[in-house]
Amino acid sequence: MTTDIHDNAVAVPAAPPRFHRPSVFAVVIAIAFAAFFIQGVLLAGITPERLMRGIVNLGRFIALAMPPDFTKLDVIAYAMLETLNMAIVGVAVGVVLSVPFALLASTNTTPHRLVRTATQFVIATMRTIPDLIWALIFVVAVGLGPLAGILAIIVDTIGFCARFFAERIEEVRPGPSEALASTGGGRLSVIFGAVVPETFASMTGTSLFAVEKAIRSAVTLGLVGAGGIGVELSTAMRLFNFDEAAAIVMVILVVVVGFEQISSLIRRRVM
Amino acid sequence: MAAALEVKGLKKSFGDVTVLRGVDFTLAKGEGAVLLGANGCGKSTMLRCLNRLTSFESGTVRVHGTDVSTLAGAKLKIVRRELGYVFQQFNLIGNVSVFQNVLFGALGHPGGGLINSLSAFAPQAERDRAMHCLERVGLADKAPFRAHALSGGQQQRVAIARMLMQSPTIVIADEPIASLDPKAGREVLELLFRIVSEERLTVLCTLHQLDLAREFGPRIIGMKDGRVVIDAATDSIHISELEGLYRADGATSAASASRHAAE
Ligand SMILES: Nc1ncnc2c1ncn2[C@@H]1O[C@H](COP(=O)(O)OP(=O)(O)OP(=O)(O)O)[C@@H](O)[C@H]1O
Ligand SMILES: [Mg+2]
Repeated sequence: MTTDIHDNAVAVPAAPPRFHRPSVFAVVIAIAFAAFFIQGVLLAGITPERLMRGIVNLGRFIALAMPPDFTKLDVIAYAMLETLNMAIVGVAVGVVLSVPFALLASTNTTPHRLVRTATQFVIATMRTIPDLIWALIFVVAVGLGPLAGILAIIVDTIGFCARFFAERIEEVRPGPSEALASTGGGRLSVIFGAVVPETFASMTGTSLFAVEKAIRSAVTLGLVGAGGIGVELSTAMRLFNFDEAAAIVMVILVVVVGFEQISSLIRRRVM
Repeated sequence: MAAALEVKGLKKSFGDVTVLRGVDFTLAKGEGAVLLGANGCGKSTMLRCLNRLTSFESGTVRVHGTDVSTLAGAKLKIVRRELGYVFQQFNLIGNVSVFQNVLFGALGHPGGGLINSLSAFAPQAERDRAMHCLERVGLADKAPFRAHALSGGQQQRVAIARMLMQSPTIVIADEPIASLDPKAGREVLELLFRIVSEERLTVLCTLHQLDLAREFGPRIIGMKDGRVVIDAATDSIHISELEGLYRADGATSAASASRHAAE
């Protein structure tokens, strides 16, 4: 029955075309991107002569920075400790505060739609403004020193964690919550008995990422005077003590990498 | 004496989709019934209306005489305490211990609440009671394990222990064995119905296996297209009537629609 086979072949619709004509939207985006890119390259003013000068300067910097000067290691170590303290305090407070923020911002746990929108707006603001700018603001508010850095890290952590916590909370399967609601439990009992435990593993993972992030930002916050090792680094750079700066950078490198190792070790064990 | 459960003219729709078109049935205290019906006929929705996990548009649901349709807050919680649910997906809390899951059964008790239901702070008497409930489902040795470390059959038995901890007067089981293998399923069903008869509880249980339904349910309630079309003592129903519930043609005999159980 070859005709049957032939008939069947005819009945099968044609395969989709190999290429699609790009939509107007895609073309507009591509042109806008190209325009920005070209303008950016022009703005950077790249010339062979400047590139050469940059390479020479970099070479001179490295020559001056080597060997690193570890004579002020005690000061550097103390500043590094202060950095770690700032990060730990800031991230701990930030993570704890992220939980209520996240609960208020999730559809399934918020007391009201408007509360949710308002909280989401606050979280988005915290996240969108970079940590260095928060540090500048808090330096104005509470003066130079680690407190400004801690406050900046708290805000930055909430912006990061509350968002991911909220996303996880919205994904929680409704079953366990319904089971606890069915026993006659109140709203808070259901939230802290079912929703929070269900999200616990993911929250721990996110929090550890937040710790790594906080240590990196604690290092830079000192550049604007918010305490920690960044203060030492910017001083050394400004006084052209490049060998001391190199020592500081190395200490930072060792501590941050070490911390990330510990953190990923914990994350693997928890998740 | 008020019936344990009295449902009249219960209607519910999700947007344009009408799921329940007027469900009527009554369960006397201590009575047991199996609820049958094809996928999507509205069984789960109806069961969720009984304690207002889902709200409904019209009709009444009375639990021991109390109309639940307008209840809220503390009064709703008091009614919910009377209805112990067992779900197809067990609905245990994954990251906490089996013991903690059972303790959560007492969340709605007077003087219960979250703090008194946490393993660390619960009164000794409650902790003992939780262990007793686990003992009754044969899982006392699993108390410290995380709930998700257990097999499906074991998880459902933990859910039954949690329901025991709640000490309800009515048990609502929505396909309690649908995610279990035949052997574990039968064991769980036997356990559930043994506990129900020992505690003289009222029970309404949905199943998809006709043979199990006829074996365990003294009475069968059959739903089709959002209505109760069969409601009779199991012995008086012919198997072909039950099979009719699953036919798409809607040809349910008028005789079975009008027949009701002699109570
Ligand atoms: N939250 C919801 N939103 C919209 N539609 C829903 C919702 N819950 C249930 N439905 C619809 O209601 C109908 C009945 O669903 P229900 O779960 O009550 O059926 P069921 O009888 O329990 O079926 P099954 O045997 O598969 O469990 C289905 O068509 C379903 O799509
Ligand atoms: Mg169902």
